[in-house]
Amino acid sequence: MSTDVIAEVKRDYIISLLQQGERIDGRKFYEYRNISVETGKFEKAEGSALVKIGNTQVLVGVKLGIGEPYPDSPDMGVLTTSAELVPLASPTFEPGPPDENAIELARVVDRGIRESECIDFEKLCIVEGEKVWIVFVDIHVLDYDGNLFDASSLGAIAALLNTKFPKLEDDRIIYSEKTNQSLPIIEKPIETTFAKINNKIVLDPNLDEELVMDARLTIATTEKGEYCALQKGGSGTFSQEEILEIIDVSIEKSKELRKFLR
Amino acid sequence: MKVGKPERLIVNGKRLDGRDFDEMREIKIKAGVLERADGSAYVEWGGNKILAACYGPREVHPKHLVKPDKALLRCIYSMAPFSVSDRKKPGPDRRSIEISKVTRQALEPVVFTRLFPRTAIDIFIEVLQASGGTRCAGITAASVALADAGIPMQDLVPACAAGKVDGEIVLDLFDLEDNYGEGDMPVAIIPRKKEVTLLQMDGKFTREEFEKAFKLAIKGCMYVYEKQKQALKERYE
Amino acid sequence: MERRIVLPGELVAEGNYRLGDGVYREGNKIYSSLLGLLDEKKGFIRVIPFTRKYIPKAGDFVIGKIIDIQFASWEVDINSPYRAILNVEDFREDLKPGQVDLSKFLSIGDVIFAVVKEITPSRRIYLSMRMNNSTVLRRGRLVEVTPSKIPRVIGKKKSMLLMIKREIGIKILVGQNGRIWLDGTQDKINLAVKVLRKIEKEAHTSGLTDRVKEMIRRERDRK
Repeated sequence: MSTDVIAEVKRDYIISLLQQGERIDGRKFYEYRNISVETGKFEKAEGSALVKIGNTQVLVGVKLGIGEPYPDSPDMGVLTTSAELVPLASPTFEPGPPDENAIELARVVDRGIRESECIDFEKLCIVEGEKVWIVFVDIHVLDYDGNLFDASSLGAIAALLNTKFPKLEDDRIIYSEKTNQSLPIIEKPIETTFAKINNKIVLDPNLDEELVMDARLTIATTEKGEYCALQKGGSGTFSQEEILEIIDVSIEKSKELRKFLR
Repeated sequence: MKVGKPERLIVNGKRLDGRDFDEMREIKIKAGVLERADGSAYVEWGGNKILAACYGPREVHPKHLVKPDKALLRCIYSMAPFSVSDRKKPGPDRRSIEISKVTRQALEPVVFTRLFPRTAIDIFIEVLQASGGTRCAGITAASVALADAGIPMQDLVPACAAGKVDGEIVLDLFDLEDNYGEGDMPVAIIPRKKEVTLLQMDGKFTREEFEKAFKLAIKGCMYVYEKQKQALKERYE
Repeated sequence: MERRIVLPGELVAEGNYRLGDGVYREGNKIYSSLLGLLDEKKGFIRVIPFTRKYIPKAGDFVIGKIIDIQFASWEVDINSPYRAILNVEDFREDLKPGQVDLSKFLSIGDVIFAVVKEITPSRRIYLSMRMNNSTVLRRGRLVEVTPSKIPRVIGKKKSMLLMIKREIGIKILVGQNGRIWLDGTQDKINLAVKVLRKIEKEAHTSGLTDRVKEMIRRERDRK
């Protein structure tokens, strides 16, 4: 209730600050909040990463299972990404099945991983046409203070890099015994998100900025500097010039985030 | 016989994780770990990693659930898919729903709900990593989160389980003992009066075994209580 | 007197005391029900919570926003788990329900400065605007701070509040419910918001009033 009352009022304040070249928390327009990435602390997961961007906290866990490949790719492993906006992360998250925001988050993070071809799926084949490794990426949002996309995708790639295969004995996985073998990762996609607030563009919107933004753009880029996924969100618009500027800045900024990956 | 059961759960008078029969696992509790929630707590208890948050008092949605004379206390216990060895599909299952209910009923007796009629006090427990005894760790964390949120209560509510393993009564079962032991008894109490707010049991106990396990669990609860108090005092020091 | 941190269930006193918030009695013993600071003076005992919520008390000045219009009253959001009610006769003495279209006076979205007139046992909260300084706030900006920091924004004998008004040259109305109304030029409002954020962050430190005055003067000289 109070959130929308204040959002209206804050919008004017945020806009007038932006006109003066300032953001509500004092950052520069293209500056990230404090970032930290902690991997491997959750041992029941085959890989895990806890990412903090400012006060936003996202925990990503990777689980490996065995299953059938898709019929059209019999020699390739399977990736499935899901996200939960658990109610403890925000007064605005309600219990229940994933809503459109959780689904969009999962699919955008998934696209970054999939389209960058960062996992060598052929190396996940056990018996062609019958048995392949299934990679489950589960995004668990713990504290929502803006920009879940960047925190979740950074967490996803950090968790994947941190993942080790469990022991496989005959047909059974022995989860309690981890091998030293890492997932076959050959790229490191990074997503960066920009918000447009009344004609000004800022990187890494915090919660206040997200509540008043007109539109957002998330860009996934590879280490080689290619663009592999884009998602525009929000009911506002971007001009073509704005988009071209954003995708340039995105490549620069993704290098900063990539440093947090081992 | 269950697949994967170790031949013996007690070897040379010690449990498989090296503990004595009446020894607790290591517990660390931190209060006030989330920005958005009104109150929160993070508990590491043996291999368990559990996050609890409290929102409230706040407006009740949907409106028809409103109670005219007190606050509506709601509780949801949930496990992250990666919290267990065999990935758990997201979403509530029957076990989580039951645990949510008994957790709420373990905490309800101490909350002064009559001070906030027509509001809701919501508790969320997320198990990020499970290693036996998550419901007790969850109640313990939720209790700290409630205090952190400034919800008035009679007392904190610590919880702890005892059980039977290879014929011996032991305190604070870890996951192997939980899965392959002969009995499990989670207990939660109001420490000052030692009143019981949670009591469940599965397995087979004789009258003697029951009393021994019950008293042992209560001792465990008092130990947990000290950890809860410490976490809250440290929050503002 | 040094205040100590107490926990729910902790024994804080024995015997005859008048009880405030945050404590309860069992027989001869008095226990805390909250995590907070024990406040004991002259036979009166209470615990002050660290909580961030605003729980209304009769006599509080609050800044509210009209969220609904009923037949004879307005429903007001006051940043609390409870919505408040402003009856038409508590708005202006001469108005009677049924005779007027309430939206002519206050519409949804309007912001008001009012007093909490009464809280019933079932926690129904009634506001009144018939006090001298109640007004409808038409221009200006609304800012929210943590309600428990409001006393620091006001300061001892209003020292902080008066200093801010004077140094920045801005109109300020402070609601106990964590809402603050600012009226002035855009620049002055922006500066005032910066000041409020600083107070919120450093509320527990000493010498804050002087540091805030410093900050205001520095910002003014910059421009």
